[in-house]
Order: sequence, then structure tokens, then C-alpha cells
Amino acid sequence: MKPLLWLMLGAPLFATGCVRLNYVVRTVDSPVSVETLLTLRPGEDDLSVCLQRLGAPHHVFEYRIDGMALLWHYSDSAGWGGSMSFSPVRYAPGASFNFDLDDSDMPGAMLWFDADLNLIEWRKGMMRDLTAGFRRRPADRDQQQ
Amino acid sequence: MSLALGIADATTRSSGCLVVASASLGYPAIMLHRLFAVPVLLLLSACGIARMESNEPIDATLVRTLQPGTTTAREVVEKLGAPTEVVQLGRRSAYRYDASSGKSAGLILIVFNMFAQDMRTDRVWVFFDEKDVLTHYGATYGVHRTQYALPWEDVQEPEDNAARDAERRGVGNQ
Repeated sequence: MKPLLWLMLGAPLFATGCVRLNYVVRTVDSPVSVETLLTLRPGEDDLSVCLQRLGAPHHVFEYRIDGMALLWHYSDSAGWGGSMSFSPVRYAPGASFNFDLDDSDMPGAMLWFDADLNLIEWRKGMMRDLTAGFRRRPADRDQQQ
Repeated sequence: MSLALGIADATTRSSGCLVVASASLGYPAIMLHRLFAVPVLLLLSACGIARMESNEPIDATLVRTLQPGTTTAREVVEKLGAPTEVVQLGRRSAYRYDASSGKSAGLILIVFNMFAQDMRTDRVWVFFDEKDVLTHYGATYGVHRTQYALPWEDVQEPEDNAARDAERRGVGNQ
């Protein structure tokens, strides 16, 4: 079949807007500087030094009761997405399909501090990995009392 | 690929007229398809912008007045208001203050669309000991750096950020 005929047959799909392709670029805050992270010295630097160099974190977690873990993250991603919908008759139920190929996980860095607020270690990675040990369900109401 | 899809949409919709026109003008049909495709595509296209904000930008000059070792949690709340989040850290505690600003710009070509979203935040974390005295604080200011940009534009240029920092009171040299 000739390409022009294919285009004519496919035209109604495109013309009604029921097939859409999206390209989305997302930027959230500024990247965590690797150069700055490399200047941090575990065992020597404390919380003050780290806050001064990296600024305020996005999240703070309790770590080993009196310690803490600080998390910085950012996003600078681009990805494809799209949607497809179809309704054969005006008042009949329609069908739609959406897809998003952009990764929703964000890169970042985490710093761990001991009870004296000295830096134990830092790590760079994806949020889902860095926060794996910190995500937990809120306590039940009965347990809180 | 994107442009090809856009042109295909416009071309196929006006193909009936173009066949007649090509017969009368003597131009090849495919050439006229292209000639018509661009203006039709322009008629179908649109640009859009959107803006999202949460909380007021944090006053950097107020944050600078905080004194570790002397400022109490009560004084911090009097100056900065109610925190967004309070975290218990064993005997210590930490308060989070934040604000965010997001700007989106998009090019809508019906079939193919492009969007860029830029989101920045102001964040201040204040840390207290067991007596609710400030021990540390960290601040990052970013909402003034948010900008409308199309996907191919760089929103992380250091010179641009520095220029915007200089204009914000308490963040640049002001």
C-alpha cells in the first residue's frame, strides 16, 4: 500500500487528537555537586560543615536514635509519554491508554551522622535506594498511645 | 519523528484539496502537501504556560538573625511561623520550613506536544537540642531561580543563577 494511502487512513486518528505524543523535561532544584561531596571527610566533618557546604536538605531522618540522616535530591530528566483514546459511538463508553517513559525516581545524596553529629559516611544514588531503610508505615493509633 | 508526525497530520487532512490544486497549477502533489502543511500546522499549534506556588518565599534576612546556641524553638517559630514539618531525632528535634515555585512552558502541536517544568524550592532546616535551643541550621534559597523555558533550554546556567541570586534580598550580596 502506498504511504499516502496509509496517511489518509491514519488521518482520522491523528486529526481528532485521540493520539498524542508528549516530550516532557522536568527540572527540580539544582544537582547535588559531586565536587562538594568529595570535599566532605567522614570522621572529621560535622553537621555544621555539611550544612554550610550543601545547604538545607530536602529530608531529615532519625538514625540510630540520636543520630540523623540527611537527604538531598534533584531531578533533571527528560522522557517520552503519550496517550491514546477511542470512543466508537458518541455516547458509548470510551477507552484510553496513557504511558510515561520518564523515570519517576530522583538522584540525590545522603549523609549519615552519629549521636555527636559527626559525619559517618555519605553516599550518592537514587532516592529509592538511599531511603530504603527509612521508609516505614506510620505507627498505628493504638501504638502511639 | 515529532515533526514528521505533525506534518503528517496536517497534510493528510488537506490532501483532497491539494490534489485538485496540483492538477491546476502543475506542481507535484507532494510539494504542495508540504506547502500547505506548514501553515496548517501553525494554525493548529499553541503555546501554554503555567505557574504553581506553595508558601511564601522564606525571608533570608530573618534566617540570618538565628543564633545557634542562644535562639530557642519558640523564638524561631515567632520569627518564621509554623514549620511545615517537625521531626523527632531521639532527644533532638528539627523543624522544616519550605516554599516552592514551579513554572511550566509547553508547545502544543495537537499530536505532538513538548513541555518543560522547572521547580525550585526554598528550604530551611533548624535543629534543636533536648532543651529546644538551636544548635544548627541550614538554608537553601531557590524559588527566585525558577524560569519559563522550553525543553531545549538550559535552566541550570551558573551565570543566570548568580544574576538571580544577586537580585534577591539576603541571598546575594544585598
